[in-house]
Amino acid sequence: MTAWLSIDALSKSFGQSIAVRDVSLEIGRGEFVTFLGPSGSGKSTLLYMIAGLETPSTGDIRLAGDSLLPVAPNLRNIGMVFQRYTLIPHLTVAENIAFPMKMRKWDRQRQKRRLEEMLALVRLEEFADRRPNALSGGQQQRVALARALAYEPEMLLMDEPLAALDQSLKLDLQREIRRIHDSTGATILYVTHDQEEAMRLSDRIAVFHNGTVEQFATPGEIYQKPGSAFVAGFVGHSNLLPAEMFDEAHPAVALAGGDSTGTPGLQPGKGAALFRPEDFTVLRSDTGTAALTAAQTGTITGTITDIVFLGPVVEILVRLASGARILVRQAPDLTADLRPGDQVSLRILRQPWILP
Amino acid sequence: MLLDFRHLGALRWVLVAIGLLVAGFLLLPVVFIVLLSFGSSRWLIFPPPGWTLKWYEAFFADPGWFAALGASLRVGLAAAVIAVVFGLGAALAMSRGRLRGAWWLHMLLLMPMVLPVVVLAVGIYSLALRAGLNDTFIGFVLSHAIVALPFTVIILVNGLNSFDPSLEDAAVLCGASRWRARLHVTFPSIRLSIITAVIFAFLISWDEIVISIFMAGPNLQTLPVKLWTTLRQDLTPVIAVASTMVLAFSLILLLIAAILTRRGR
Ligand SMILES: Nc1ncnc2c1ncn2[C@@H]1O[C@H](COP(=O)(O)OP(=O)(O)O)[C@@H](O)[C@H]1O
Ligand SMILES: [Mg+2]
Repeated sequence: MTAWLSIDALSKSFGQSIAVRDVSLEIGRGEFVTFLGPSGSGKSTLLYMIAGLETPSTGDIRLAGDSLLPVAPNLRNIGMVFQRYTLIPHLTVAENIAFPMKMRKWDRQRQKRRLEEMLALVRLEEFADRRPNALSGGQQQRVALARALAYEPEMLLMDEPLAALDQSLKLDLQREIRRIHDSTGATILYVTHDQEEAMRLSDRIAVFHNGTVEQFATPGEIYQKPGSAFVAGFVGHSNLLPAEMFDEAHPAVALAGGDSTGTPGLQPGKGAALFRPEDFTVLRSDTGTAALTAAQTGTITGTITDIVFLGPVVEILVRLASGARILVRQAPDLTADLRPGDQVSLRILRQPWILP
Repeated sequence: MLLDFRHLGALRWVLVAIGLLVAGFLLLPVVFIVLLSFGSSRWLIFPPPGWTLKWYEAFFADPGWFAALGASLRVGLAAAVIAVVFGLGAALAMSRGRLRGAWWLHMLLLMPMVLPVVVLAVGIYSLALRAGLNDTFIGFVLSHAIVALPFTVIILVNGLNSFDPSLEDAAVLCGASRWRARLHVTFPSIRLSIITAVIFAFLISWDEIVISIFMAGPNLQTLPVKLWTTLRQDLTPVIAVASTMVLAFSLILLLIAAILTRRGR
């Protein structure tokens, strides 16, 4: 995808503290990109700089080749939905959605047509004449979304728009946002600290940490091939084991505890092997599943220290001989006969990802 | 709570009595002056021997009193508008936290409130003499606006602090310039604070006497000044009428302010 929005070596400091440091991203037209990271990692600050509400300390933002920085925020043609409810309290839902069109002096007919489209898009036709304080939080955010999209902006920015809503409403609105992205083709930049939300919505995710972007990739790559220990730990649960890679003629990873697992195509060296909780099958050592041979993908042995039933999965905590702990997720019916204290073999189902 | 009113037993009647006494003490002069304005005695005898409206007729028939009433209204309105416009500008600058030295500016603006009024009055008087503003409408308005400014700043800063600036930012991203966003979103959202500030600024000008005495001259005097000068010459019940007018107006405005603040919550 060719770059449409280029963020080029952008930094922002507030006095002594640096909120965003040297971030560069290339975003394609129509992409749904999420900024994911813990609170305070600089996601909102970057979004505000793109919107023009904050001025970068250094660096540049370009849209279709032209710098956005000299353009005033009200002329950038960007829509934004904030975490807090920002509807104008003394205007009705319809007047709020029409506000940006009024500011742009659209003619009445066009305003009216677009207003109806927008009310239909967020399914709030019968609430058109209500004031914002007569709406629920979820409805207010849907109006805010309609207002931000009403004037057909080139880009839609969303700063944790669903953070204040409860779980089931969140899922509904996530689906709605996806649908709106598909039907309008808008480029969306979405900020969240919720990894599941990021996975659900995004074409690509930029993972933020201390003001820098640790990795910018598709949800699949972020999960399966994280670029750093931070990304591995922030997105999903990670089991990291120290590992040593042998030369390419003998592709295998030696894990602490003496086990090894075949891993073709690796550069020799030391590193950390990442296993996700679903990368194992747990087998009782005493059931004599001798079908396992070292020639296969390998096993790790350990002792169960805890078992937690979560409904669709059971989480099993296993302590290895080396003292390392591994969290495994299994279907409940596979674990009925397991108890804490049991000796188990963890059969490795997938090649581990070796963190660079 | 330990000192819950309902659990105080007999002591609570003592508290009620003290409360009533204090209220009575504060209200008595007010009741007194209102009753006297309707009393028939030329010599302000209390209790009045009979009731009459003739002092009210005298008040409205006297062009001097009427002019003073008009002057007070006009000065109060103009001073309130100026104090609120400047107060709003200052409050906007300070509440966004981007201004260096905002704290010092705040302190400076609150100065007229803590400075002894006489000191301020002498200062304003000598300055006005140089500028030739004594005994002029502008002189009155500016000096009253100075005294009212701290109050409008406090009210408006509070109003802006309880207003979420993201609302204004959202309006800007909708395509409104910063000032249009303020006009369409910020000011309507803090309109209760603005109205309250106007009322308080007006009231401060309305019963301002110290600076006004320095400012006044043959051309222009406000109602409190006229009251003061008349009082020194002759004690007529018309003074009670004028006092009642000042009082009634203040009460009405205070009531409006109180209703607005309650509705704002
Ligand atoms: N206006 C500001 N003044 C000072 N520091 C700020 C300001 N805005 C953000 N910061 C700081 O910048 C860092 C990044 O903040 P932010 O971008 O809001 O993080 P996020 O959105 O990822 O939670 C934080 O440490 C925050 O305290
Ligand atoms: Mg944030």
